Amino acid sequence: MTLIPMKPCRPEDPSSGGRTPLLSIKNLEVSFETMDGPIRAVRGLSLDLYPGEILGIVGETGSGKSVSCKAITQLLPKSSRIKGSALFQGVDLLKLSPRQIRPFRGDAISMIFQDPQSCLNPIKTIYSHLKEVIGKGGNQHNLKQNAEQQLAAMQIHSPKKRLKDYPFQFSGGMAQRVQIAMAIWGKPDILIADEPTTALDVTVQAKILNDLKTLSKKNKMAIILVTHDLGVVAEICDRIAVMYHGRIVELGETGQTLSCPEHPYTRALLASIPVIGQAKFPLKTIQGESLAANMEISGCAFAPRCCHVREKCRSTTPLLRKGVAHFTRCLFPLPEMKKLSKQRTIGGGEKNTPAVLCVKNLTCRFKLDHESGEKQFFSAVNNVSFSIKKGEIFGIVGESGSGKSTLAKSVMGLSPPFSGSIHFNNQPLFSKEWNFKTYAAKVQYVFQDPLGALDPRMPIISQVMEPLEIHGNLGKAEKIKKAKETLAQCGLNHSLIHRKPYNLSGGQRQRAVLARALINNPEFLICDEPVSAMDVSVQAQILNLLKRLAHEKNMTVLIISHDLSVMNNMCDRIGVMLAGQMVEQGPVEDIFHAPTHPYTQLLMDSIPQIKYDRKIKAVNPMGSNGGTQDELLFNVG
Amino acid sequence: MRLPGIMFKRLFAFMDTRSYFFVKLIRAFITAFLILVISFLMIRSSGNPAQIYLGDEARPEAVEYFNRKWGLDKPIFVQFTSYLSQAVKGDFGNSLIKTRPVSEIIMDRLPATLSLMIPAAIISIVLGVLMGMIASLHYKELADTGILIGSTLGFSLPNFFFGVLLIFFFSIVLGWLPASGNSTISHYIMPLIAIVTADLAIFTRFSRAAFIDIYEHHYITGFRSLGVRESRILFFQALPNAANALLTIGGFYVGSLVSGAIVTETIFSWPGLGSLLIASVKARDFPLVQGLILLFGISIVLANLAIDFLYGIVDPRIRKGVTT
Repeated sequence: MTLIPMKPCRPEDPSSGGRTPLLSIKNLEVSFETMDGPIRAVRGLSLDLYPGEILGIVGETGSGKSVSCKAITQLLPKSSRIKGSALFQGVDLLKLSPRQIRPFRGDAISMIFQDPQSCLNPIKTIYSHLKEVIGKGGNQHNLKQNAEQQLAAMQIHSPKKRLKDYPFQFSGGMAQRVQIAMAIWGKPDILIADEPTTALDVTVQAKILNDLKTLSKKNKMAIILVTHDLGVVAEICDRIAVMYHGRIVELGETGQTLSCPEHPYTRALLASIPVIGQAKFPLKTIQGESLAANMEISGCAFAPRCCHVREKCRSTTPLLRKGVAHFTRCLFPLPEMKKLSKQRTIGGGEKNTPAVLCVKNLTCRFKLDHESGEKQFFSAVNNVSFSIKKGEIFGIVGESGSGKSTLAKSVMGLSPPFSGSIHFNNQPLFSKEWNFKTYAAKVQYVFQDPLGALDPRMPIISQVMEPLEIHGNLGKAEKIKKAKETLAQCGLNHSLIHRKPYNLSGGQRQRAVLARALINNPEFLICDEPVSAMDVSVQAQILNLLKRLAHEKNMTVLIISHDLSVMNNMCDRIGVMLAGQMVEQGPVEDIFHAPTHPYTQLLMDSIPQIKYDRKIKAVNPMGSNGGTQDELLFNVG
Repeated sequence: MRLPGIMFKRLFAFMDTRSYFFVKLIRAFITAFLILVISFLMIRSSGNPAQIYLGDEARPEAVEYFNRKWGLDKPIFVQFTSYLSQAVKGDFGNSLIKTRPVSEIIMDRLPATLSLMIPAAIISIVLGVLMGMIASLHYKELADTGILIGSTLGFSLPNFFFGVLLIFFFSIVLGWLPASGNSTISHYIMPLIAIVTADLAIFTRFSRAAFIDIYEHHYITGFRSLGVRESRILFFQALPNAANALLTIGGFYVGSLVSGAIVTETIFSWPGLGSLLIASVKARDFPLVQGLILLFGISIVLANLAIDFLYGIVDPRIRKGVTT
C-alpha cells in the first residue's frame, strides 16, 4: 500500500486564501462531571471559521458535535468543565463570565435548534417571542412593526395576523422560520444551526436549507451546521468537519472531502448511506457500535471498528494532519476510492405468486371536535388500494400527516376502517370470523422507537419469549432455546440477552424488537419507520438485517418511511402517499427514475444528495488528485 | 392600565370555546348537588335524630312532637325537596343547641377564619413559589438541599405539637404573645407561623419540581442562546408555565381554606369555623354539622371551577381546544 507523504501541521484551511478567521477554536475540551467520573465529550477540537462560510460538522450521536457548539456560547449545564479557547474578534469567549458573554449571544453568535416547535414557549404568542429578542437592549419603539417585518422577511404570510398565534398553530417548517427570524434579528456574524432540519419533512427541509444558504449570502453571515446527515452537508456546506469520539477526524472543502475521503470512518459513513439510483445491497456497514464518550481507548479511537486497522493504530494516537488536499486524523490515510461494483437487488416477489395482502378502497376517518359543535370528519386514509405479493417488500413513503401510520394500524387490525376492505390470504379483516389473536400470530409490527416498544424493566430475553407464551405451547427450555436462536439471528450476542433495554444501544434495541416480532415466524411484517431514529451506520446494519431475514424466511414486508433513500434500497415496490391518498405506486425503479405524479417528482428533487460531477470536480482546485469520474462512489443524476 | 384590558380580552376569547367552559360548569353543578344529597343522607343514616337528641328514654309523645317540629314525619322525598329549596335560599335550619339559624352562626365565625387563612395562604404561596424557584435555580447545590430539608421538616412537624411549642415559648416562657383569641394583630402571629410552616412546604416542593421541569425545555436554552436576560426568562417565560402546574395544587388548597386549620384553630382557641366544627360534632348539633360540611364542599367545588377557568387564561392550548 502506498502511503501519501504528509507532514504534521496546524489545521489551516486550504481554501482560506490567507483570510483571517472569524472564530478560532483551539484545543477545546469539554467534560461532564458525573457520579461515575468525568465524561470527556470533546477531546481537543481546533477549528477556524471564516466570514460568510457554511461549515458542516458531521458525526454520530455522542461524537461531541452539539456539545462543542454549545460550549462556545457557554450554554452547557453547570456540570460541564470547559478548557481551551475560542477567539472571536480578539475576545476569548470561554473566559468570559456569564454577565460578559450575554451581549455576544444573539448579536454576535446566534443559535437555532432541532425540533423547532419545542424551542418555542407553548403558552406565549409568536409576538411575545420576537418581543423578547427585539426589545432586548431596552428598545421599546416599533416593537410590533419590527416583529412584523422580521416575520415577513422569513416569508411568513400575513405576519400581522400570525404574530397573535401560538407555536402550536405553526407547522414545523414555519416554527423553524420563526426561530430563524428570532436568531437573525441581532444581525449575528455566526449562526449555529444544531440539526435544524432533522425533525422536518424532506420538502420542508429543502426550503429551510435554501433559506439558510440565502441568508448566509445576503447577510454575509457564517453558519455552523451541525448534522448527522451527510446529504444535508453536501447540499449547502462549503467545508466539512467529521467528528468521531470528541475529535475531528477529517476536515476540508466539502466536495473534495466527500468525493475522496481519506479517513476510513468518513468513507464508511458514506458507504452506509443508501443512495438513490444505486441498487447496492447489502449496504456497507461499520462494524461494532460507536465508541461512547465515557470510553477511553489508547491509539486511534476508530481502530476497533476500522477495516484497515494496523498494529500501530492501537498504540499511537494519530494527529490531524494534512493529506492530499484536506486534513485527516489517520496514521494510514486511504489513498483513493475503489470503484464499487454494483450488486443486484436480492429478494423480491415473483410475478405469479398470489397476493398475501389485498387492500381495497380503504378509508379511515377520525371525528373532529369542531368549535361550532357540528360534526366533521377527517379522512386520514382516503380510498387507498394496493396489494402485496408473497415475499415482496412493499414500501409506503409520505411526509408526516400523510396517513401512512394510520394505514399500517388498520392493516395490523388495530383500528377498523371507515370503509373499504383488507384481505389477508383471502380472509377479510374485521369480519365476524376474523380473530385478532390468530391474525397477530401471522402478522407482526415493528415500531419506530424501540425504547418505547420495549418494557424498560424486563430483560430482553423474557420480552422476546413473550409471543411464544401467548401463541405457542412450548416447554420452558424450548422457549429459551428458540428465543436465543432468534436473538442470534438478529445479531444480538449472548452476553447482551439478559440486559434491560436501557443498557443497550439504539441499534441493539431495534434488533431485540425485531427478534420479538420474528420469533413466531410471522408471514407478514409491518415496519413503521424502523430506522428513522438511528444514526446512518446503525441504520444500515438494521436495514441489511431486515432485508436478509425477509429473504431467508420468505417473509412479506410492509415498510413505512419518510426517507426515500431507505426505500430505494429495501423495497421491490413503492406507494407514495399524499394527504391520505396513494398518488403513485409501482416498482421501485419506475418510481425513482420516472416519477409521474408531480408530488413524487417534488419528493425526489427535495432529497439532499451527495452528488459530484465533472463540473464540480473541475472547479475544485484540489481535484487533480481526486481520481477520475468512474472511480467516484457517489454519482447521481 | 393595560392589564385589565388584556384580561378582559382573554376572558372573552375563553368564552368562545363554549364546550370547555360549559362542561366544567355542568360538572361543578352536579358535584354540588351530590354534596347536598350526601350531606342530607348522612344525617338521616346516623340513626333517628329524635332519639339521639332526646335520648333512648324519651317518651313517644316527645319523639312525635320532635319529628313533627323538624319535619321528620314526612316521606323522605318530601323532606329532601323542602331541604333543597331551603338550602338554595341559604337556609340550613336552626342549630339544635343554640337555637339560632345555622347560616347566622356560620357567618359570625367566617370572618375570623378568613382573616387568618387568607394571609396564611398568600404568604405560603408567594414564599413557597419563591423558595421553589431559588431551589430549582440551584438544583442539587447547597441552597437546594437546605430548602428541601427545611420544607420537609416544616411539613412533617405535627401542627399541634408545633403550636403547643410556640405557646410554651412565646406566651408562657417569654410572655411576648397572647396564647388565645383573635382580638389584636399580635394574636395573629403564632397561628400564622404554625399554618405557614406546614403549607409552605407544599408550594416549595411543587414549584421546585415545576421549575426544574421547565428549565429542561429547549425554549429556555433558545432564549438564553439569543442573549435574553436570565431574569426575563425566569419571570416572563418560566413563571407563566409554572403557574399551570401550580394551579392544580392551588385549587385544592384555596378550596380547603374555608374549613380553616382545624387543629390550629383549636389549639389557639381561634373563634373560627374549624373550632366550630369540632364543637358542633362534639355536641351532636346535626343541622350545624350539615351546614358546615355543605359549605366546605361547595367552596372546594367553587375553587376548582375557578381554577379550571384560570387554566384557560394561562394556557392557550386549553383555550383553543388543542390537545397535545
